[in-house]
Amino acid sequence: MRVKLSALHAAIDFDYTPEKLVTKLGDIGIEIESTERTDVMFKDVFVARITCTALHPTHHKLQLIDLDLGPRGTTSVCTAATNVREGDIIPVAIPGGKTADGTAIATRMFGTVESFGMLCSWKELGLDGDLLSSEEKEGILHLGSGAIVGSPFEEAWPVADTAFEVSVTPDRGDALSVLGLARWIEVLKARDTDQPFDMGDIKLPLPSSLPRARNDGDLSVTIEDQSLCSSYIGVLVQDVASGPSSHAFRTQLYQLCVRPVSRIVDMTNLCLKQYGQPTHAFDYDRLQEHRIIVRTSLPGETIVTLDGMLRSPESGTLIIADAAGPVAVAGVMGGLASSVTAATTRIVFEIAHFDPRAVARASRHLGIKSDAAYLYERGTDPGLTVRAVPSVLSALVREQCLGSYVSRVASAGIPVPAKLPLSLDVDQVNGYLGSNLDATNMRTLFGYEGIVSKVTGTTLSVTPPSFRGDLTSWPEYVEEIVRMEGYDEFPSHTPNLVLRRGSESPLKALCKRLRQMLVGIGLVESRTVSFVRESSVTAMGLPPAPLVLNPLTVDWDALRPTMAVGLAGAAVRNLSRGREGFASFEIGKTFSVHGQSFDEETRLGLLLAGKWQDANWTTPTTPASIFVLKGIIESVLRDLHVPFGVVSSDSPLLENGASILVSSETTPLGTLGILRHDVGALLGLERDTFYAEFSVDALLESIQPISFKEFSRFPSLRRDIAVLVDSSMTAGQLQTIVAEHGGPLLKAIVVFDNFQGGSLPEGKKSVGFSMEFASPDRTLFGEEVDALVDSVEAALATRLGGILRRTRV
Amino acid sequence: MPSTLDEIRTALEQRLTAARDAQDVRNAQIEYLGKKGAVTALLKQISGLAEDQRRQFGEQVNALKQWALQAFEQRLSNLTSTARRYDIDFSLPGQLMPAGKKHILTQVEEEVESVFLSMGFDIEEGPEIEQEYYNFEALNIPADHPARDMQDTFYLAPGMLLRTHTSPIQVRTMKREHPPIRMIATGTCYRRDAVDASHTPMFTQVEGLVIDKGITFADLKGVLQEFVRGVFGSSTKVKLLPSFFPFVEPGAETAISCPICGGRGCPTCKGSGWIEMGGSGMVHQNVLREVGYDTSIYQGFAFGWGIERIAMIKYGIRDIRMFYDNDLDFLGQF
Repeated sequence: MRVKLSALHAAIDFDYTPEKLVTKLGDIGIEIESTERTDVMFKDVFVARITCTALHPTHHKLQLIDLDLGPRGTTSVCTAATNVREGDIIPVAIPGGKTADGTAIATRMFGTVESFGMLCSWKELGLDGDLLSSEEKEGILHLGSGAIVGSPFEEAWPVADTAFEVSVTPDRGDALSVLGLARWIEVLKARDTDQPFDMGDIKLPLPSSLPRARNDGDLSVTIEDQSLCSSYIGVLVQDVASGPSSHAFRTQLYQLCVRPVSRIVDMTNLCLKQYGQPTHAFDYDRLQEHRIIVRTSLPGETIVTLDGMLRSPESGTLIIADAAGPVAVAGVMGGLASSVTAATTRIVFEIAHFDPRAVARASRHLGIKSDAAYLYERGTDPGLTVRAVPSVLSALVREQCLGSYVSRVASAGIPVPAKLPLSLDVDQVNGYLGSNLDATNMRTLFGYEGIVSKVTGTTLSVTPPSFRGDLTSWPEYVEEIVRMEGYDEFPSHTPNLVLRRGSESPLKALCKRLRQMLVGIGLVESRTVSFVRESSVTAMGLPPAPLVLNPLTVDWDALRPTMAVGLAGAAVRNLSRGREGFASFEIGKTFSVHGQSFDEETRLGLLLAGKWQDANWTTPTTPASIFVLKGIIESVLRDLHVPFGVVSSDSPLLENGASILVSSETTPLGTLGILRHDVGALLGLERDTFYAEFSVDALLESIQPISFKEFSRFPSLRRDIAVLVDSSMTAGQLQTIVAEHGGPLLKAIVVFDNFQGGSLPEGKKSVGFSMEFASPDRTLFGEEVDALVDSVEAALATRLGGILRRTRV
Repeated sequence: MPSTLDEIRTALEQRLTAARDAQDVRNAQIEYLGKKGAVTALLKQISGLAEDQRRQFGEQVNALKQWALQAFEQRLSNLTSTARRYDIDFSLPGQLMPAGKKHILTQVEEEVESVFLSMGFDIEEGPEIEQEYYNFEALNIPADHPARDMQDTFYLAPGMLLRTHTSPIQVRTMKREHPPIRMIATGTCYRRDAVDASHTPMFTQVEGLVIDKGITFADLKGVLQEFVRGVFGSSTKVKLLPSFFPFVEPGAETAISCPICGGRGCPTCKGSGWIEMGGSGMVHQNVLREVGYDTSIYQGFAFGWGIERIAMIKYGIRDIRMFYDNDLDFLGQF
């Protein structure tokens, strides 16, 4: 909410500087987001009346204007403006003065005619264009009736001021008006001077009875459900005159940061901004049978609202109806058919107190956000406002000469029931706050806010003022004690708690461990958004992803079923900026949908592209490869004590023949391989990309407990062999044979060579193994190891037709 | 050749200082301690002295010999160690090592978690796709309450949404366990905010909850103070300001003394010396009742802060989008 300092000063006397006010309001929970000071930047600009206009003798686009400056005499100017007529009241800058942008004003010759100044538009005066009507922004600014001719413009218009942008939390509906802020300033004053809150300090008119009215019109008001509308007042105004608001009213709107529209709308806006009470104007003659019925909507009822939209409120929506049907969605928006038009001569102003939830429900269901609904949702004051506003409005009608008189006030639900007192236990309050206040302290603190309290021993009986709809239970009163005492005045200590160890889930611990391992191996962790584009996911051949019903953009209309999309995005970003490699992982949730239910799983994604290892003078470049990726996975699984095996995979993300499924016994852990080229292209990756995705939940299940195994303390012996076999033979098949025939003394097998081409025959490859033999209880003899190697060689030769290439000790 | 004890000592010191290599030191050792050495000569004199002088002189000569042995050894080792055997250009870089890095959000998250683990808090988790009930109703945010406007929500189906805060984990924990409860939860949350320098539709929160008999507002302040000291340094102070969050009463916004300027005022804290970090307060009675706790026995506090915000303040990061861009030039800095 935006409001100017001058409007606050008009409502209550206070001598805080704007900066001080911002701090003090912030200390009690009313945040002023920003302040904006405006100074008078022009000089020698006066209010003048046009007494005569004539065409310039030679310049056809100019007019000669005679001006009355009241006690300052008369003058004349030439102007190119077209929106000026005799009788208009306008601002004029006289020679010696300047406009807001610094342009100096001097006497000027236009042909043979001398011009003694310049008529001003809003821009030359440095006014806030957001607070002016479109008419006011067209050409020369016109001042309304009542502006004093001859007065300096800065006296006629509140130019120098400070605008506050007030940001209130949803419970502070009571601060969404000038009256509301004035009350909080009164609270500040009361607290500073240690005096009780005094409503009498508020300078705004606050009559406490319904307006006097002549009883010569017919209007009836009925409330069907008083729990949804506690009170409703209709004020009928006869002989309505249209036109703009008076000058005084218009400048008041400027201080309230309200843009003028018309007399009627300006009045309803003033009530809203000044008092926090939304009001609505109906055309009395368009209300069927002149009846107002506050009721809930029936199935199938519709209404065309002021914005021209046909609305179908859900059955049970709180509406205002006449004899024929809905004329407004209560507290949200009026209907077009009953709205005020140029032909309107009689108006009914609605002043009501609606249930906040009912208004909120209707506003959300119909998707209408109006200023009225915003206020009603946050709670309006059923007492003071509903009593005062009708009279205020009636007085404004007379002041603004809107209608000839107020005729008939029809109401229901009056008087508003008084608030019931609540009992507060002093010990309970102190036990909640960790404080040491006594009942008298608390009564004083409540007194600053206008909360009436009676002390009986260690109990306080507290009654809130009618504008504090937020005070309904004892913790809410506790908050007021904290607010008034000062949040920072309370003691601070650490709780007396039983000593114990904090714990985290095994899954969380595993995620931490995985991150640590992968970072140690040299991968960078990414964190990418969980949103993906549904069409991309479908194009990748993945199962359907959960769709977001109200996505922010079409690129983020689904939840990721894989970590690949985010990681690919991160890779593209880095590679496109000249990086030669990207090796990253992410641990996060992936999502799936099964019929009506959603699932999420913690997964680890790894992506390698370009260089794996950068080069320098000691280190050659290593390109990322499928075996770098496999090596990372093997290293992690070994470190975690997860036994595993691999088979070829059919992952839709990975190239056929270049991907494997890694499982531990029967539990699939994840897949790794070369990212399918079309998937990579879809994600913006141009080169070979290596990708793995593992289920962290599955890894957790597959971790084996660690138990000590006896190891050999005797020296081991090493033998290397190389064998020429058909290219179709896998290293794994060879390794199995080596293991079988190496016997129990064979401790480790390492593949040290895997070579094809060169001088080797077509269709053949050479595979080299290094075998390490050791015994747990003795030093081995070379001869016995050689015998084992012989048997391995024989098996390779006979079972695979392998040709032994060399044996080396 | 010097002959008295003092002369020998002074001469030997000079000789050793002048020695330029080990061989020179060994030569000097022969000159002084060898068969014809000066010290040896003195030793030989002992037996020729009168009984009363022999003892005193003997001790002095032996002391000189011991000192000389040590001096030779010392000088020898000095010379050996300072000898220039290599000529390495250390301006050359070392062999490249793996340069992995945890994401900055993970680093901050783990730092926060370790502070709370050390205070005996459990770390709880919960789903990111959440029921509306846990995200809103159970937290005293009924449908049609303006507080819902504070958190613009992504929906997946009627009643199913992406959690807008980590607070549903509080509700799930309280429904599962009985007090005393001391927990935090960190995790990804989602709000339908348009992307700009201070908003991303996805962000990370840390949530804390303590429920027991006699837990007070003062305890909340004390725990937040410990938390802030642990994460921002021991001189950081905490200030509470009134605010509104539907699931707490009294509710407070927590500000910390600006860790950049130490509270003197700088652009980061907009000159105020304080930076708002997140919400906190005493858990609302409606929330406790909803999970079936007896509010006449149990009470407690809760708080929720943004991990991104903590990281931004701690490291002076100005644009929240950087966290999710994963630019290596950014990630590599922390």
